[in-house]
Amino acid sequence: MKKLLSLTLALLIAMSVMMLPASADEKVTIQLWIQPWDTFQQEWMNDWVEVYNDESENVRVEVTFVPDSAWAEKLKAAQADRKTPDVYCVNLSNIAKEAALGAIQPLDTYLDESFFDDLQDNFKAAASKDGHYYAYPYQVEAGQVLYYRKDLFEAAGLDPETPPTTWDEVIEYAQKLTNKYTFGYQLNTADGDIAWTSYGMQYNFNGGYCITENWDKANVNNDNYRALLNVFKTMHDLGIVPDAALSNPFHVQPVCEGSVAMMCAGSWNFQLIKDDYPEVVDLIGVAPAPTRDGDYTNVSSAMGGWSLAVDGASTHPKEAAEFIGWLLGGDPEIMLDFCTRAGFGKCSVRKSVSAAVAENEELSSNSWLVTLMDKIVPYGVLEPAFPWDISLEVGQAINRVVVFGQDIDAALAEAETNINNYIELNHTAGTNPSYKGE
Amino acid sequence: MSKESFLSQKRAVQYTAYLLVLPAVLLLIIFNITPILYTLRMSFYEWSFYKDITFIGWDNYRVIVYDKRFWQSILVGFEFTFWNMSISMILAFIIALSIRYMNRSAASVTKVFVYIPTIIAGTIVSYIFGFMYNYRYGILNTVIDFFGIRPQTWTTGPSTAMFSIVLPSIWQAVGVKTLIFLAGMNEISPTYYEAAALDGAGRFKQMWYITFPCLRNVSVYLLVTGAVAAMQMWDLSNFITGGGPQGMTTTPVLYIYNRFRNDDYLGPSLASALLLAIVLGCISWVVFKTVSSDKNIDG
Repeated sequence: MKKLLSLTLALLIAMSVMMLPASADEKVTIQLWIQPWDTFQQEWMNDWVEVYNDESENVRVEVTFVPDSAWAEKLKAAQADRKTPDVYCVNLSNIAKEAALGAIQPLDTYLDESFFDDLQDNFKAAASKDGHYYAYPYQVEAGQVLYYRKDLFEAAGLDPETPPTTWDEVIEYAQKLTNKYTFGYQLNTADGDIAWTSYGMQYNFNGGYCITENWDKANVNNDNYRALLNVFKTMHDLGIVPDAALSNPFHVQPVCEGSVAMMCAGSWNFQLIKDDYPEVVDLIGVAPAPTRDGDYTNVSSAMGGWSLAVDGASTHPKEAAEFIGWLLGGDPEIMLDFCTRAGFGKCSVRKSVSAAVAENEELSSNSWLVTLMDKIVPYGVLEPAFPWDISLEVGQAINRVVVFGQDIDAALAEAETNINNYIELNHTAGTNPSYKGE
Repeated sequence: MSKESFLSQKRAVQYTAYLLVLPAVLLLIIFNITPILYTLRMSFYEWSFYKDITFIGWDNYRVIVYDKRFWQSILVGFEFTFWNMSISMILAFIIALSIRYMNRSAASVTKVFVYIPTIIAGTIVSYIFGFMYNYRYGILNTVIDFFGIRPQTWTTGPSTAMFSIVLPSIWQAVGVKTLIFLAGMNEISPTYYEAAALDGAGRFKQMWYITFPCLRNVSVYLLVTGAVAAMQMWDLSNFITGGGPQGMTTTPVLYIYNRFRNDDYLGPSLASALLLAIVLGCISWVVFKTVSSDKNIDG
């Protein structure tokens, strides 16, 4: 009996000790979730988080890499369970929407304005809502860059230093480049892939996206989209593109392997090509994506990008914001290291980092980088923030024409009806958080 | 035994029975009924995880009912279930019948190989078949190219996308059905077959007039459970076809999954889940009404 009493007492004491509040010496742990787009990105994040953890006396950051395919459901499940990370990555286009939902909280509550002064102006606008900064961008990439094989151009009698600038030229070149072993061009073929990889093309043809700025009605049933759909139809009818895309929409693998002579894909491929296909780096040319009239200053690409934000329910917002400020808005060397590891296919959003890149003689002679920084990024537009179902309607309209043989007018009329129905059912009109009125 | 003693004993037995059933009932209430009731309540609210919930009545249901993609997904579910059930039931029956006539070692090996696909996760199956369907490197296009046929867009073609997900689902579904059919066949009294043989009935007539009718109860069970499981399939269409083309392979659960993943507010996905539950309940009711189970004559 005495033994039992002693044991019980010991257990009670042990439990009460465990329940004591943490001492002041214990560090605050910040959970950071981020998508591991590239190997270098994981290494970069791990390296600099380690530095931060070593330097910080009060805060410890723990990184979790969550694949894109599992991101939405993992984050939603965490939100439902009230176990969200303190910091996570938010797509640039979604910052205003997430802020409106209360999912992220203002950074400038805890960070001095000076952290944001170095941001380039267009990214200041993307990161803010109602006068507050809600996230800090860390990378921007062009979604549509033309990659082409110079050696295949030469073999087809085309000038390897003169890539096509219009879609009519793409069709003309692709007809010469297509043979038994190679397609002249690759288009994406899944509804969703077409939808987002054609953002730049849509904006170029239509002077805007498929709905109005105020998100109150469709803007798709017009001659601009008819011309756009006609490009897809013509390329498929001529047999100069494969029936199914030979790769996922992220990678220029078919161009690297020579099974496709030209394709548009993101600027993130700069480093991927160097890593996976170093033997063809000198054979690949990079140019702005073709436009309707050949003028690359008239938007050839949509710009995608990511930022870090503090979760709306974080219990350590100050520490989380300070970490973001240190990593992304502090010493330019950190972001310069990021851009370097990315092969400069991911652009900096900070003036100081861009200036450092421009001063680097080796980089300023890199034709890929020069093309990206001089001809694509300055004229890019942010990817849209309206609901994905609306974007998908464009991809489906294109496939109805290409795969199902539907008439272009009928396809666009159906897309217009579907988009307007969605807007009405889901009360989307007027909800664009970035809309500033007429 | 007096009447009071008998009633007391009967009550004791009843109480014991209730006590034994109580844990299962509690689990059912906690993990089934309570979530359903909570889902029903929350389906009338506009709610996200960061704002206060707002009662909006039937608005979430209105969004779903007027969304043609929801009804398209129901029809896709019906089509998928039809192909999955009809082919897998017939195949499973044939395989089970064949196993009955094999020697013991051959039957054991066959049962193992038939059942293996059942225990492979749907995600893995999706990737295996995805590789096979690959336009450039897939084995299917390699084989047909050898015969001079143009490579097919198996997962994005309007005429092939549905079968690109039906095929792996049959591969997975046949195993369990085969073993259950086999168990049912083994329960059929051999005297029926002996009597039929004496009357001159061949194997086909024995199958038609004895095996089929005696497997009615087993078939009803497989029909109901198989149909409900098929209607709830989502992983094959998510990973193989992405639900396309044009939503032609977006099953109901994939529709709900996409809504949950993409929507800012969660109410519509709850409403669609409840509406799907009603549809599944109707399926079960139709199956039971159409193919009612029978008591075995000797049972």
